Amino acid sequence: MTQIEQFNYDNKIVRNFGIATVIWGVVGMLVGLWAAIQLYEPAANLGNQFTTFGRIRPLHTNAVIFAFVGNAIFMGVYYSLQRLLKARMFSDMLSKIHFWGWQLIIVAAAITLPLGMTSSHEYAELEWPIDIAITLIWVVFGWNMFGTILRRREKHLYVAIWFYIATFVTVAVLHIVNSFQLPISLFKSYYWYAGVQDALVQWWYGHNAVAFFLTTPFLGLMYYYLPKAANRPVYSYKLSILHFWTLIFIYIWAGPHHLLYTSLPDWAQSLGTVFSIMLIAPSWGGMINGLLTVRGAWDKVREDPILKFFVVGITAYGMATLEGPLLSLRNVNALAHYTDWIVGHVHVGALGWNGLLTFAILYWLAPKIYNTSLFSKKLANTHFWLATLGIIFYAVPMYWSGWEQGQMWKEFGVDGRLVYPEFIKTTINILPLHIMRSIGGTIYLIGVFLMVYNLWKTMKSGKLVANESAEAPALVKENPKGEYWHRVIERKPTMLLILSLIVILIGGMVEMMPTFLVKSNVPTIAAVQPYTPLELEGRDLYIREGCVNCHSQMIRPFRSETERYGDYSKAGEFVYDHPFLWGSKRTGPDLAREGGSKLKKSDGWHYSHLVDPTSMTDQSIMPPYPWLAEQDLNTSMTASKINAMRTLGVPYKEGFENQAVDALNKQAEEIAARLKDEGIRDNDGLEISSKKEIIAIIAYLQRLGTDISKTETATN
Amino acid sequence: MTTRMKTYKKRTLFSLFVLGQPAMLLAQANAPQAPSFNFGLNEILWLTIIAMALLLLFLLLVLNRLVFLLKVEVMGPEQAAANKQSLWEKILSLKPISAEKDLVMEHEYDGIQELDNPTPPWFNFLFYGTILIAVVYLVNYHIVGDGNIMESEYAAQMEQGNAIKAKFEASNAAAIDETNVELLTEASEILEGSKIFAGKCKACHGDLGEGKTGPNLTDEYWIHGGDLKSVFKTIKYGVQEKGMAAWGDFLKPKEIQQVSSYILSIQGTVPAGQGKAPQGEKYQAEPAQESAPADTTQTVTAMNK
Repeated sequence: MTQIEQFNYDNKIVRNFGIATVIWGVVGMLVGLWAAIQLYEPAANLGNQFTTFGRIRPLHTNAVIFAFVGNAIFMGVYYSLQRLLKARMFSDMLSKIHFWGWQLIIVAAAITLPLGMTSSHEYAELEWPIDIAITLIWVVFGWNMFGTILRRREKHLYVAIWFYIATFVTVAVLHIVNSFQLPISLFKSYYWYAGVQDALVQWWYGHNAVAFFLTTPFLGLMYYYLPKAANRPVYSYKLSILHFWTLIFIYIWAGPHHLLYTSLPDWAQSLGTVFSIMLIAPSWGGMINGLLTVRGAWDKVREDPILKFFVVGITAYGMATLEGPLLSLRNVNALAHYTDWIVGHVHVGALGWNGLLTFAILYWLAPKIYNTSLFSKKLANTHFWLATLGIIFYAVPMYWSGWEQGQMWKEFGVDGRLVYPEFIKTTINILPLHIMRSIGGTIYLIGVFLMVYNLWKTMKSGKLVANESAEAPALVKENPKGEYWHRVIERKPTMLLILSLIVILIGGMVEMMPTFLVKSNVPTIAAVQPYTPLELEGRDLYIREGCVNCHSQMIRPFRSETERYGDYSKAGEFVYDHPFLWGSKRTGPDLAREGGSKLKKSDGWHYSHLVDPTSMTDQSIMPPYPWLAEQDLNTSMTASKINAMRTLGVPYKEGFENQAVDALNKQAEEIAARLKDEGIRDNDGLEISSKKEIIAIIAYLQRLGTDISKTETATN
Repeated sequence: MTTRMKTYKKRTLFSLFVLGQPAMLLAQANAPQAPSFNFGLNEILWLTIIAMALLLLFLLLVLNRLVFLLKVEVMGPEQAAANKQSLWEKILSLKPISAEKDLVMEHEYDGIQELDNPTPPWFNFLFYGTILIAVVYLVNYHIVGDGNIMESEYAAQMEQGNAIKAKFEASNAAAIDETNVELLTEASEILEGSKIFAGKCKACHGDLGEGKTGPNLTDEYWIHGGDLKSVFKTIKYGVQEKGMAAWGDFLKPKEIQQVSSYILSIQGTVPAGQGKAPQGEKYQAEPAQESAPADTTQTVTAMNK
């Protein structure tokens, strides 16, 4: 007979991750609110470069994704994994390293992002040393998880753990592939890939960060905490199998739907579209398996705030995963891309699915590990209604705004000309909706504060059961005969891991390898030349200031865009762009051809505009960048930047790095001379020095999109 | 102002209307023209599809009732009623909750049980349906079609747009351009010109045209010519190397005429020395080119102060 073994569950690590979840949640959402307010009240940046939208928007996204949701995942996994495997975590030391390592990474992010140290890849902004730290801590997490799995007392792995394993292996692959960077200094690097390839890798990563950081781990959590909270059996084991494998296989392919109508080849875009459509059923498989688990417990939903959070959260998941495929249809995307519609869409997922599920789990877990009951059910109910209202007040204005602005960008009059040729007209129109959005966010945040109080009181009323004793029979060696085929996989964790890895590698490889290897996918343009040293430095300032958060550099092949911005963007124009800066949102106009004939402005215009945007564009909501005019350009790394770019394949001549600073100074003096000609003076009435950062960024802006017109003049 | 408010309101109402529509309608709304409710072939097609769908639903309900009546005949009323499921249960292919105990699987994890429900048929239908759509999509665009989707769509858009432009210009035979533009002297036209100037030009040329980053427009010196046709041309096409924007895409020909006329009307209004230093060549107005009436000029500049 098998022997009953005694052991303890580690609840302290669960508690620690729980507290981190709450703290970072509050911080991340506050920063989000702050960023939202800056979009109609630019002065809310406190006139300070460290807290200006371009720098704190990545802080917001990183904080809510990796700090809030990340810690919530670890909290949920560390509690459920131990119980589903009937084993304590493999190593307390690894748990501790994981916890503190992750918090240190978050702190590092909170320091470096406002300082402008960013790689500019969305949701992967952190610079290379932090990327390495993330890799190490992720390995610690996987090691700890797999160690526990190998020491389990439960033969088969429950569906939640399939999702945890897929999450672990896929996030590892995504993070590593999207972090190929060439370091120049401790806090500056260039991406290995350029232009179209870089965009494809980034959005393969970006899309699957949503899939494997915000979706699969939470589906795993749902499969544990929902049946627990509802005290109901999971609706369908067969559906779990089907939707698990199809979800992880199909998700990976859908990344290119973030790049519809860009310079990415048509075939890759079409793959993005069709795999997004095929994703509806696997996503909904998770939703219906969750909602039907609550079947038979609907009477409880009426009273239990935890179940309410679950039901609305899962419904939000269903809505967002239907909307996603719709947004991947070419014609819907043509309208919605670059607008607030996308912002609304992601927040239904983030606030609804991730937020509400996290709250549900926190309310369920805190009393359990403190051996008490929830301080106030009524307060939790109030929180539920505030959260739901907050989501509605957030999402509706964003959909409205996106629809409105998208239409205005495309509207032609009877004379065949754009009705709103000036971008600012379309911006002013949606500001009231932005104010409403920040009210929605505030309501949601008030709910979170109620939760903080409620959880605090709950924890005070009990005592942490740091080590919860449990017992279970030891694992029997022999395997049952004639098992269902999937049951066999469920008792072989390494096989499950390898199968998941194979399944998730296919899509990325099919899309990336031809784009990297087949020349015809990125037709070269002879006139496209590398940036001058000054332009390169200006580009790095553009990256530092996070301009890409509001300005795209990708003119889509629509008449409404070519009439506004000039010829549409070609793949060959980006071959020296390490990283690509196509952007994903147009809070301001596209800048791909800012230096081109259609949009050309004088150097003095750019100077005045950067120092005070409203002086050149009435009612502009762009924040002023006076520090660019005050700070001297740091050219100490210019030579190593040229060398690094050459390593990455940019054809700078050997030895050019030694002349780079001279060339930079020469070009800077030319610009300073032009500014003098135009009568530009600084605040003290002095002539503009060629040493200032603003000179470099002007050089970069004036270069944008001009190469291709050289071809035209050459062939004409 | 009021017309702008009206179009805003119209668009808003339209947004609300369309947001409430099924997604396929959303996909349709991407038309290049301003939204309108023309009742064309498309709408008739939609109505037909909806009508057919309703008819099908009705037939299904009738069929459902028939099957039930047949069951009553075979099993007797009590047995048939016991086996009857709610509509939702049928749509979702749910087994009655009472049957759950037979579905519980033998394993459990930390007290969590699983049911051996099959994947619902409608789910499979949805899944295989989307796979079919995906295959049709790829075959349509990349095997039957040439796979050059974006470029061909763009070419079609440009053709359509250029046709609209050409048609409009043909119907306005006397279109104004740099070869035939004439000076406007009407106070109302100059006033319109001054408004355009305040919106688009003053950022670089100063509130009074005295010059800032751009040159002084009130002195007699011109870099690109000081006659009306030259000013019109400079505004329309811009001067790329100097950073003068090409306004031809942003302003209508009539508007360029108004603002050009306004610019010539403010000649000499800023005393020498107060504006930006002269740039370019001195331009002598030909005697034939009459200057704007002095009184208009004064009212307008007064307004700008």
